[in-house]
Amino acid sequence: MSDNDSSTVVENNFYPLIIALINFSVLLLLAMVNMSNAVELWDIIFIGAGVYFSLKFVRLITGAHEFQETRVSVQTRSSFPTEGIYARIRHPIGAACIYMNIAYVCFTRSFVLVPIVPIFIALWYIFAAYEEKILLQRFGDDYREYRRATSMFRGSGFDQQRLASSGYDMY
Amino acid sequence: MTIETFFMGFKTVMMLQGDIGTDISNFLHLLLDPLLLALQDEGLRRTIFSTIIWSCMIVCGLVFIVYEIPIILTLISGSQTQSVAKQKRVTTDGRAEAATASASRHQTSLAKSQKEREKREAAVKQTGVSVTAKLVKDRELLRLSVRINNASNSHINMVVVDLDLPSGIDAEVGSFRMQRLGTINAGEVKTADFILRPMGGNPADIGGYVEFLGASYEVSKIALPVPDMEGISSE
Repeated sequence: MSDNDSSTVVENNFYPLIIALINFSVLLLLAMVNMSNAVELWDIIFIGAGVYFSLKFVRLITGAHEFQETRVSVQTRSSFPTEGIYARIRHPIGAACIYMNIAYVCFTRSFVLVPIVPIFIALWYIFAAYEEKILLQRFGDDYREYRRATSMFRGSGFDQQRLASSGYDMY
Repeated sequence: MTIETFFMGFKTVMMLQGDIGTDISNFLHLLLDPLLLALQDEGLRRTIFSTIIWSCMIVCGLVFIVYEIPIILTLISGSQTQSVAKQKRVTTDGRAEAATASASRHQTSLAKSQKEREKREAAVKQTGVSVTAKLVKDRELLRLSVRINNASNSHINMVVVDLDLPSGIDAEVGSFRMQRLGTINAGEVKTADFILRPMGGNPADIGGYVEFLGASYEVSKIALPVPDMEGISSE
């Protein structure tokens, strides 16, 4: 699926940008107000986890933007990428932002973010499901096959996924 | 004499080991003590943590902005009214052009599938387990027999045959796209039969995989070879 006609592609995928702006504006405000000042052992562990999720965010965003289709709206996309990060994850931008939400919780170390973050995660999930619905309508069986072989947000091993889906429940 | 030499050597090694241990300990103390001492200061720890946290947040924010800048610019300038690379629509005037494009795509697809088949056959040859497929026309239905010959020296477990059917060919009601054959002992042959209903699809495009656990508990996967067709003409 790579019949690219890059000369006329318009980068018009605004929804992830808008959702991310809303998501991280709210989280940043809450983090600034509620960030814990404790410096005990648990804080070191949480901050370490936060750094790990931040690195995942950077890796996924970088991987996703290697493909121009990421920046093109699903309604006008002429193909869907199936290589690189897309060989394992169908929505790397959503996955990256979900990881960053978790990183914010780890950095802030406050219960205030705990009820807020699931709302944003749900928002990213709804957006991913919406995109998939459109891509299924547009690309049909090709996208269905691709969907069978990949995960929505978490990249698991392709072979293991196939074996698990074969009914043996090995993993 | 030999025993004395051995004990002398042993004592020297023990002495050296003791010295090396003390040296390493002293070196680590010199290196880490100032750090540990400094980290006992709660204010310093707080500053370090704060720096790490805000650095991560700012770096992540910047990465996001850098990659999204083209979209931000498009959003600000509002210039999304340009033509977009859509799937080409076939108009009445461009029928001939569309037909040529379609033929060219079909040709590319054939070359691609040929390459894929060669790759599959090479993979099958490499392993001790061989897979053959045979497609027989059975009235309006197709019977696909996948024969797995375990020519290796050890048994294989959890053998699964999973079909990738092209559009226009479906599994018949009561027949499944996946079958489990369980264990196949060394030198044994097992066959999985699938009943398929053709609805305009090309039987030569039927693909799939045979997956199994080898003796070393590694998951192996062999692509299904192009089926031998009996009484069927492929497109």
